[in-house]
Parts: sequence; structure tokens; C-alpha cells
Amino acid sequence: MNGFETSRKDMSDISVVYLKGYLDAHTAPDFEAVLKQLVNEERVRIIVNMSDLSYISSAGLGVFMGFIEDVRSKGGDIKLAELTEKVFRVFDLLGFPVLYEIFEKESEAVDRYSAS
Amino acid sequence: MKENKKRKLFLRLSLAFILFVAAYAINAGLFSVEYPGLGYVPFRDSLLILALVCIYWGLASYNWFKRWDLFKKLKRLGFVLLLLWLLTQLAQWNILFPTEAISADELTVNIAKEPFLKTVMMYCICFLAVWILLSIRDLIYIQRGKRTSRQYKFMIFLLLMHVISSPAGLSESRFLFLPFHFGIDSPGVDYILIGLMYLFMFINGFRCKWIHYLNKEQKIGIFFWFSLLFLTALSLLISDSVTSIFDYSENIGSFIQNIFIFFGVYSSMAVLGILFQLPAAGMMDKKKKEIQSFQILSTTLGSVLDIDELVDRALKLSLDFVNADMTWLELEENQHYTLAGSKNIKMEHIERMPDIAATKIRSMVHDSHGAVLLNDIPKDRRVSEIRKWDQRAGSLLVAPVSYKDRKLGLIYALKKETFGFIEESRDTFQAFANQVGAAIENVRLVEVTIDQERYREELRLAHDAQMRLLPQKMPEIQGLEIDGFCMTANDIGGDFYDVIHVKENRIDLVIGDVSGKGASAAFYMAELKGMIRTLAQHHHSPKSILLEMNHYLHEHFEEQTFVTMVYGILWLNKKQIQLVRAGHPPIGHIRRDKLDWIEPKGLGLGLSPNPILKKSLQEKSIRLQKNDTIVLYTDGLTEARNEKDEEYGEERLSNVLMDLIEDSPKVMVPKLKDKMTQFTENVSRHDDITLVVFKIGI
Repeated sequence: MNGFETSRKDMSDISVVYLKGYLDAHTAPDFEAVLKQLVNEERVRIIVNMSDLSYISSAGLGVFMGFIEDVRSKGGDIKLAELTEKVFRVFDLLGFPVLYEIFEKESEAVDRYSAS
Repeated sequence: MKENKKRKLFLRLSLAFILFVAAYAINAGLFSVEYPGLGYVPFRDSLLILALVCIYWGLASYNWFKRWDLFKKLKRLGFVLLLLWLLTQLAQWNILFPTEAISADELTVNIAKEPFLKTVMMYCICFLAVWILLSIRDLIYIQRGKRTSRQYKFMIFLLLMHVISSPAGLSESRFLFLPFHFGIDSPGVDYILIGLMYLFMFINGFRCKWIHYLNKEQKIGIFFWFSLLFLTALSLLISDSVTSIFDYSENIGSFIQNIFIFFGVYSSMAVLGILFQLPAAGMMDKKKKEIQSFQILSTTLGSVLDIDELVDRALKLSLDFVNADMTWLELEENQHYTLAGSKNIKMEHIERMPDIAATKIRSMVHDSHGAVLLNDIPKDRRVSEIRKWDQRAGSLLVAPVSYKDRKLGLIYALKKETFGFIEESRDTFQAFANQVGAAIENVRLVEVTIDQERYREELRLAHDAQMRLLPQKMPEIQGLEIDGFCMTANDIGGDFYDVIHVKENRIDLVIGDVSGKGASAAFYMAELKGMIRTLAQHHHSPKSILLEMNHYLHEHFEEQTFVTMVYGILWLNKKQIQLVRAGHPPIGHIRRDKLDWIEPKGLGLGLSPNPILKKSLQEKSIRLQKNDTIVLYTDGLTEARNEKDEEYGEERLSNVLMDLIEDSPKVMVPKLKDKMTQFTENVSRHDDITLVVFKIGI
């Protein structure tokens, strides 16, 4: 079983979720729980930093889809930052860049929030 | 077998009767038995002794009374003894056998008449006496050891010796033509033999184990019955009623007399035995009932698989076990107690018990690590709240229900009287509670197993359904060579592919991957497949088909579920293929010795509403030449991992395809399948691996 860890950093009204390891069908629930918690706390300006994420499967992609509508309806968003080449390829193949804003640096994502 | 035995019995009894008749014949003087030089020969008596032996031998081997139950045997023994007593009395009344003076010419006739009836009577008396002897033997033999049968047989041997050597004693006895005294002349030997015989009768008298099998009422009944029989036997012996039998034959008389003596000894010992056991009889019955209850408990609890039924039956048994008036059971889960059932007391009433009292009792049980007995509730200060809750409460017995250190709950037994339970009940009740605990655990385990089995069955069914939805055989289409495989994952996957011969010159090719959880992916896939076939009939552009599907998906599927797909419409006459790729891995195009990956833009299905998808889907048309090959696959292939946790990857796939570039689909596909099988050996698959390859022939 491949490992998966999440951690969270809150700054003003933005929360950054750090993903580490493998995000697949087994570990997706953990990620789900983090996002759920954020939504419960009304922290809907979310950035997901995937610099340490080595793998993502369709189940992992599904987690994003499960929350995006709700988050956006509350005036927030899920922005993606620091994707590795491999992970980006998976997102790109699926066409995610059409739906999500993807940034090379976390700070850029933060700036984007400030700008809006 | 039984017939055989019956026949043997009949033969032996008949032989005995014949011997009796022969004895009668001798008596009637029909032939003489004076043997010169030998003096008096007790030929007649020997015949009678032989007859007796035959009767014993016949009845002993038949053993039909072995099949009766104990109580029946005891009753019948009594009746037979009374019958024997009756016959013995009859035998001595001269009413039947008048010896008054008769006329001289009738003398011979009467002498002949008199003994024959008597002979028959004597035969019957012997028969009954043997029956009694064997009945007692049966009683002695209950729960016998080796010594018992030896002692009995020795007694019978001594009895036989005694009967043969009557009346004159061993020194003068003869059997048939043979002297029976073995040269022993001392009368002392006679006394020793007789003494031994009575000694062994006494020893055999101790074998009354059958008393244990009677309940209290039966014991009292048999006490009186055997007392009566004892007195009957005693009266016979005292009143000398056996004289007439002695007149008929000393040996037979001796036999009958000793049978009565034996019966007297045995019955008196039995009566005394019962008398001494009566005070304990009640306790014995109780213990037997307890053991029975345990047996019922084990079988009941082992067979019940519904927790409510289990609780119900357990509580019923609980009442019996400790003779309680009321009983109830509560189950525990994380310090939370729920009332599971009750008997003879309303559940609402139990729930009205104040928390203080309930908690107090529970902590008492916890501290004592076992059952707790509160025998005097009115006077017990620790639990004064119980009295306030219910005035009737006299004594309470509580035991923890657990299984292997896991606490499952508590079981309560209440009696209205104070001191209603004896100290020993605590242990009994605890043992009972342990059984209940084991049974509850058993039920739970079975439920878990059933759930797991049900889940596995669901997966199996969904998997089978999925397998059947994939094309069983590649269609044979003129000008097109197609082959493919789908290696399904251990869990349910959502890969599918289809080749639809829509029209004369149009073939639609689809490959898709439904993402989602478990069994639902397979069902979605089935739905989509059906949709595609219908849509293909009405649309002639892959993009419009996908938009229709997206609309449906977006409305009806879960948010986390989405579908990647490649849809191609192949126009054979135009030698053209229209392709759309919705979030799916790129399409491989092999022409001569070159491999290209085509990746038109396109969002996956079910991720966004149609306007967005429409904008993102880029339809591409490719002109095809003869021998062009198209390769479609799902991400399960490139994302497959080997033992070293390496991904197969897009690069490796390209290299492998380049190696097989000359091959036709029917050659390439099996080879690729082998490679994938080899690659994923010993690793469990988490995603379906699908590959479809088709080559333009014309």
C-alpha cells in the first residue's frame, strides 16, 4: 500500500492543502476528508499544492470534481499549484486545464486570489 | 435375527417342557428308573434340573425385557412376583389337587390326572421364577463394571450347585447317573457353599444404581412398591408356602425358595437405598435439570442465528436455571447499555429503574469480575434504590455476559423472596451467562461473514455482468481486421469498447473508461454502452454523440464519476476516420513504419456542462491508406505497475508497438497481451487494461 499524506496551511482566508505520495482509490477518502473539513469551516478559497504528489488516479481526480461545484457556488475555488510533469500529464489528458486554474508556483495562485 | 432368537427361545422352552413331561411320566410310573447296583437315582429330579437350566438359558439369551424402560421393568417385576406368589399359593391348596379318597377304579386315572396339571403349574412357577431372577439381573447390570457380572455369575453358579446338591447335601448328591459330590464327604463344605451363596446374594444386593435414574416421585413410588414385594416374599418364606413345591421336587423347591430369598435380600437393600437417598432426591433432580438445561442451551444457542430469537430463548432458559421469577438481558456497546429482552417483567418497567441503582449494580459486577448475588434487597443499604423502584424485589442475581474478555452485556435474574438463591447459583448463573456470551458472539460473527459474503457476491455478479457486456467476439467486417483484449482488474473496473456496424460503409469504434467507485462503474458502463448503440443510429458526428452523452452524464451520474472516451466513425468508402478524444489517452496511428500519437483536445465526459465541453472537443478527420493501423488503449495499460513498482508508461508502449509494427492485429494483440501479463505478474491489478487494434485492409 502506497503512502499518502495531507497537511494544511491557513493564511487569512486562503487555505493551502499539501498532497504527498500516491492519491488513488484507497487514499482518496483521506483527501476527501480534508476538503470536507475546509468546506465545513467555510474556508472555500483553496489551493492544492502537489509538488510532493507522485501519482494521481482517476479516483483522485474524482475528489476534485466532488467539491468544485459546491466550493465555487460559495464564491471560492480550488486552484492547483506546483504539479509535477507526470501529474500534469494526467490532468492535461483529461482536459482539466479547461476547468481549473493551474499554476507553476503556489505564490502565483495566492496572488490570483488577492487579485479577484 | 430376531426370528432366529425367537425360535431358539421357543425351542429351549419347549425342551424344558418336554423334560417336565418326562419327569411326570416317570412319576406316573410309566417307566422305571431302578438301576441295579446304583440304588436310588434321582433321574427324575435331574431331568427337572436340566429343564430349569433350559428355561434360564432360553430366557437369558432372548432378553426382550432389555428394551423396556426402567420404570416399566420395576413394575412388571412386581407383578410377576405377585403372580408367582399366587401360583405358589395355588400349588399348595388341595382344592386343585384333591387327594381325598376316590374310588378304586378311578385311582389310576386320578393319579395320572393329578400330577399333569401340577406339572404344568410347576413349569409355570419355574418360568416365572427364572423371569424374576433375570429381571433382578438386569437391575444389577445397570451401569455395571467387570466385577458386577463376575459376582453375579458366581452367585448363579453357587445357586446351581446348591440346587443340584439338595436335599441331602453335597456328600450324597447325584446328577443323572453321576455322583455329584466329587468325593467330598464333609458337611462343612455344604455350609461353606451355602454361606458363599448368601454372601454373594448380599453383595449383589448392593448393585442398585438404577435408583439414581428415578426422579423423586418415582423413588417414593418404588419405595412403597418394593416394600410390598419384600413383604410378599417374606410372607412366602415364613409361611412355608413353598412346601408343596418341595413335595413335587426337592431341587425345584430349593430353587424357588432361594429365588424368594434373593428377591427379599435385593428388595430390602433397594428399599433402604431409596430411603437414604430420598432427602437428596430433590437436589439430584435439580442437578439433573441443570445439566439438561445446559445441554438444551448449547444446542439452542448454537443453532439460532437471529439475535432477537437468541435473547428470547436465553431468557427462557435463564428462568429455569436458577428458578427465577423475572429475568432480563442488556447488551453493552461502548459503555452504552440497551435492554435486549425480558421475561415476566415489562421492558418499560426495567427502564424505569433509576440510573443510580443500575450503575451501582454494574460497577459491583465489574469489581467482582463475575456474578453478583444480592440476597436481601430490602436490608441491603448499597442498593436501597432497587427497593424504591420495585417493592417486589427480594433477591437479585446478576452475571456479566462476555466472550473471551470482551464484555457484551449483563443478565439479571430477580426473585420476589429474599434469600431466593443459594450461593451455588452464582457459579451456575455465571456458567450460563458465559454460554450466552459465546452464542451472541457466534451470531455476530455469522452476520459479519454473511455481510462479507453478500458483498463479494455482489462484486462477482457485477463482474460477470461487465464481462458479458464486452464484445464476445470481434466482428468480421470486410476490409477491416480487428483484435483486442480487456484484462479486468480484481475489483470491478469500468473499461469498455465496442465495434458497431452502423451502416453498410460505416463502422463506429468506441473505447471508454468509466471512473468511479466499485460496482457502480460497471453499471454506468452498461448504461453508456446501450446509449451509444442507440445514439450511433441517429447521429453522424462523434462530437454530437459525445455531447448527448455528456448531457445525460452530467445530470444523472455522481459528481465524482466521469468518463474518458475515444469515439471514431470509420467511413469505409471514403477511407476516412472521424475522431474525438474526451479526456482519454492518445490514439496511435501506424503507417508503414511510422507511429504517431494523435491527441486532439477534449475534456472528459461528465465533468462540465455541454457548452464548455462543446468548446473543448476538437474533432479530427484522418485520411486512411491501406494497411494503416489504429491503436486504442485505456490508461490502465500505461499506468500498470510491475513488482518493482515501475509504471509501464507511454514510452515503453511506443517502443513495443514499434517492435511489432509489421504485425497484423491478430498477431500484435496476443503478443501485447502476453507482454502485459508478464509485466503485471504477481501484482494485483487495480484498473482494467484494454487495447483495441484495427487495420485497414482495403
